[in-house]
Amino acid sequence: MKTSILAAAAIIAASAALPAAAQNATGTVTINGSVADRCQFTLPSDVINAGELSLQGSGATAGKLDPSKLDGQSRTLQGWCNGTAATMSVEAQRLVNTTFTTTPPAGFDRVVNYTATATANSANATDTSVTDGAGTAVPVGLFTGDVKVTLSGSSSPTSGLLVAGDYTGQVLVTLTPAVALP
Amino acid sequence: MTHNLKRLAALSAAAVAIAWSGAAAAQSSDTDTKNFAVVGNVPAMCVGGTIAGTGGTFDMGVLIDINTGLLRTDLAAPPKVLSGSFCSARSTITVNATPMAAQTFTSTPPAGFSRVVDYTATASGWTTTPAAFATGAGSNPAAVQTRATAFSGDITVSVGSFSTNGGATQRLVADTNYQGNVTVTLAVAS
Amino acid sequence: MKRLALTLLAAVALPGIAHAQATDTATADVGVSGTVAKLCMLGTPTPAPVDVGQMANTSGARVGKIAVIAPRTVTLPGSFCNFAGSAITVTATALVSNDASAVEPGFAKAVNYTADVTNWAAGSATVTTAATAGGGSPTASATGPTQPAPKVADLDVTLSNFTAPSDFLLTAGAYSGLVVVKLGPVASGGE
Repeated sequence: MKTSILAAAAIIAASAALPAAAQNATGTVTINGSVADRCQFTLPSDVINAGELSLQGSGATAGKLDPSKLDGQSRTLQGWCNGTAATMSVEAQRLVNTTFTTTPPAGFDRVVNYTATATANSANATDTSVTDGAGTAVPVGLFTGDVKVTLSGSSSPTSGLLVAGDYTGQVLVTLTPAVALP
Repeated sequence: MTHNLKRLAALSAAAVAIAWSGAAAAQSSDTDTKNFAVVGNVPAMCVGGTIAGTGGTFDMGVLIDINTGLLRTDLAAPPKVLSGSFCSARSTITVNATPMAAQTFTSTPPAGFSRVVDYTATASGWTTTPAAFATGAGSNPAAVQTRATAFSGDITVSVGSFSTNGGATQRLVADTNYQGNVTVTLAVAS
Repeated sequence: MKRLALTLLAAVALPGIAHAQATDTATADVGVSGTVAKLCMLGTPTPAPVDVGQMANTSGARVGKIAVIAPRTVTLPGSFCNFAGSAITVTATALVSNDASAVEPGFAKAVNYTADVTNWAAGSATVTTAATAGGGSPTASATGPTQPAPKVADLDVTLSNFTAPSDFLLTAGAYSGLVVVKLGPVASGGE
């Protein structure tokens, strides 16, 4: 094997080193490569701890959802997409009382809905937790940087009193590169 | 490196937010207490009692000594008891009495004769000092007595100290019906 | 120099591995959490205060003694607890004469009654005062059954069964008492 390679090398070297008496000959080696469309989150996770969700005090709204606890809350993730056809979608999953899991009595709610907005590269994707599943994907394109998630429009289904307990939900942001070319 | 710092900043900001909202709701809110007053009143009132049986009359019998025609000196009658009297507040007890007067012989008797017998009526058991009314007296300050507290009890009414109006040497005109009245009044004191 | 050319060839001869990989979808999550603390609130008692008016008969066979007093109801509207396991505690103080002087034999200066709180749990929270004729021991307290789920309701407090200790005559004057309603978690004796 060594012999054949050396022979090939010798041929090339020989051909290259031959002083051309009459003319030069040029050989071309083509180098091909590709970069696939990809998206990635470099800071893929964060937590919003909203604290006490109900209104305090003694007014007529005491014990009901305090919208200011969720509305305006935001966290900034970090990500990138390397293709111009990348899209972004967001899914808001409602806050659910994990301590009290049965149907609440009349006048009470155990769920808090809200709207989540993900902003990257000047594109906004939104979703409401009222309907299951992610919202519509929006074009986000080629970018690297902040993916800001903001909550707004929080409410409870019957605008009733909130059952005591711990509430948990999450926002999922998905970056999708373009569909692979055939 | 930059990303990690940003993450730390976000988490610490969240931690600060929790602490702040916790302090605002520091009062124990899982218990609530409300109250209201209940008021009422009891009026001050007095209720007079009743004398048992048929005993509403002191029957003094024959008033004169038939040998002298003068008023007997031994007139006496058992006292009467008013039971079931009460006052719910401080009260006054008042005794009033009218002299025993001949009911048939109503004109002015001739000289040496009288048609009126005086006596003293006393109501005891209600106040420390019994209320007493002497029909022949010009004034009767002891006729009204005050009791400082509510009371429920028996009132003993007695009559005594009989005397002939006009003088002990006057004779009483004949009449089968000499009559006087004793009134005992309980009233709420202001 | 020969070696250098070899290296170049080797590098070029390794094409296509990156090209065969499928495109990556990246997903990130932001967790959202919060809490709702246990809370109980009682509505403002309406109508209050309760004035039962004249309490003694002024005529008849029971003159001077306690009259028949019709029951009174006070509502605490919109009362709620947002957690399971709450109970009502009602504390009632008998109506006692505002006159501090001692009472005479045969008289009472206190009026007892029953306070009954309904609409919270399956049974009511009930207490009856047991003041003495002299106005002693006027206060009594009781806790009702446990409400096993969060609830919002209009509570009714009914006052009834007005009696005088030993059915004695009542001393004259103004009388006053108090009803305190407390709503909170059942005292945990271990679950």
